[in-house]
Amino acid sequence: MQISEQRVRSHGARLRTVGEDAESYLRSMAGPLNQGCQGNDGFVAVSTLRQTLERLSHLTNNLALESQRTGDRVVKCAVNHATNDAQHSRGFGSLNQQLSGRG
Amino acid sequence: MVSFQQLRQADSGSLRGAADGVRKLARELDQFGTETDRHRVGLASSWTGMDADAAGQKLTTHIQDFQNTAQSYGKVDNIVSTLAGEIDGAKQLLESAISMAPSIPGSVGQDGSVHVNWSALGPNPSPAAISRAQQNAQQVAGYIRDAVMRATAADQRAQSELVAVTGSANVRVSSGSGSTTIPAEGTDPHQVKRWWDDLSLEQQQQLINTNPHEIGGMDGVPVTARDEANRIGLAQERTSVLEQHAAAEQRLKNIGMPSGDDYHQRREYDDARRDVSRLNERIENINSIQEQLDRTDLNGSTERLHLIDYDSAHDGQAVISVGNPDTANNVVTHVPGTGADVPGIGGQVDRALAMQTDATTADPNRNTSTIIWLGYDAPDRVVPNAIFAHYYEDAAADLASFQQGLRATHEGPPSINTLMGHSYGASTVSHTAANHDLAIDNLIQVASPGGGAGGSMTANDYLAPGADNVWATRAGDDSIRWVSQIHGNDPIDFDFGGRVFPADDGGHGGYWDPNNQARGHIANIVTGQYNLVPEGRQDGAPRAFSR
Repeated sequence: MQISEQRVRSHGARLRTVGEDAESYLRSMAGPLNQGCQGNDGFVAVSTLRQTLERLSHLTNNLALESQRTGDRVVKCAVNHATNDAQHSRGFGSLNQQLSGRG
Repeated sequence: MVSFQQLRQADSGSLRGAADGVRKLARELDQFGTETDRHRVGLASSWTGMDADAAGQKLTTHIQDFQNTAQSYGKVDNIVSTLAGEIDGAKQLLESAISMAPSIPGSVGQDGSVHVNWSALGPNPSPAAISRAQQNAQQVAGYIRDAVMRATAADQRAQSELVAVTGSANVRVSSGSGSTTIPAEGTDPHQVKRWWDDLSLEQQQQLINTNPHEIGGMDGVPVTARDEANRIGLAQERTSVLEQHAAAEQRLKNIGMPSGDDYHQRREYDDARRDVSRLNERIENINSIQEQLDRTDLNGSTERLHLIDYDSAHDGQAVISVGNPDTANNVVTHVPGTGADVPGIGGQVDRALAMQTDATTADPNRNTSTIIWLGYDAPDRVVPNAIFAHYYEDAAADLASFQQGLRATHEGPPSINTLMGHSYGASTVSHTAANHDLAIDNLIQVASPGGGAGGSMTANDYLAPGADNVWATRAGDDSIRWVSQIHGNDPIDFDFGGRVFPADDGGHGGYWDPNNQARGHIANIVTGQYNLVPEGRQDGAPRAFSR
């Protein structure tokens, strides 16, 4: 396995931002879309439009949250790798010292 | 079905606002997908191994999901933008029609009905002037109908396209307080109406789309909903029956002409031939009904046709109204008699159109809806069929339910409801009124072969209406007079105790001929102008009948 920790961490953070932006944008459009579904009594398509937009909004919101979670996981992988790397380094250092002491 | 008023008040601007919103969302989501892809590529160049592969796969899924949702919003944009454009077009047509009304001379009512201003034609308008005014009114009504139909078609198209965007299974049906379980056949129409009213509009629409036959055939469901359901059902059934027909024809071809001694092949061949014949019958019935729904020549009537019920099997059944009985002031249900069938329903609809026009002329200030009720298997021929009672006996429960349904779904003050029948249909309405409370205001028997309720039956024996509103007529040259007691007492007889109005000679089927005076009398009865109906000659009357 190879990893450029800084770059992976950066991409992960930006992926999280993509999800947050998507969630935020969706929220900002809720009002105008809802307004577009008002009135026009008697048109069955309007109530179906409301249902369709609710369904799409639900799907999009889930996608935005999932995108944030994926970004978080990517960042976590990079952090974990750095932590493991440090632990491994410390472990190797300690082992070297012990081996040196015996020598 | 979009109503006249709903189209007038429709606001395409709010729909365009929604379309703008979803278009922006589509663009942004597509952009989020592109950005996610950029980071996926960046990660791939700086990270390898199992975790990196898993992250790459996950991000690929996100990219596809962003693209898919962007496409879905894009489709919604197209659908809603198209609907908004169609609404604008339909409204333009509608307003143009309304602006033509003064030239009829006339006006357009709140419900979109077109009224001729007869007084503007002067005290004694010529037949040509009356005819011209009626033609003008019909033209305006035609434009209004076209506008409403255009909006309705666009609305329905948009609805089905929107459902397809997320998949019909994903569109939730909720928010109504009622159960979507359809009531059992034979449920009291008033109970059906309460059930229908408890459903949300979305639930009602979904039931119309998913169960058109059940909803279309259910007394107690409002007529506009039944009409919409039946039109959907008819179109679906036609497609299905045509496919079955093609398969049956192919089967017949595959079997081939049977050889003389192959019993098995002969039997298969006969079965296949019967199938083809049965399906031909259904196609003919479906086409006949569709032809009526598509007709543009409404013989002077300015009202829309509604398909309230139908059945394509065997001789077929059809219940078609001119105008909407749920909103009309006067409602006439006409039951035709011997020989009436769905392939010939056009002639019956012509009579309904004529009666609707007559009633409008008799009382221009009130709406009249006329219904052809061929909801039973009428006898095919006079001999031997029409001498039997089982046709009207079998019809009674359905006809009674239908009448009760008209009361259940009617809006506003109660309408004047008239049930009339011609020939065997007269025996049918009489028999039904004698055995069921139909809540009718008038019963009219035209050319009856007997009241269908036994030899001792009189006009006082109906559960409704009272004898003062039991009417009958028969032309002097109508041969039915020779068999006028074959199904019980003759309603023309003085002893029967009903009211008789005159009809001009024209044989057994001439009552709706253009100049037959019977038409005007029927129009006055159904519009409640009883004092204008002259007395006709009663058989066996000791003296002139008077009230």
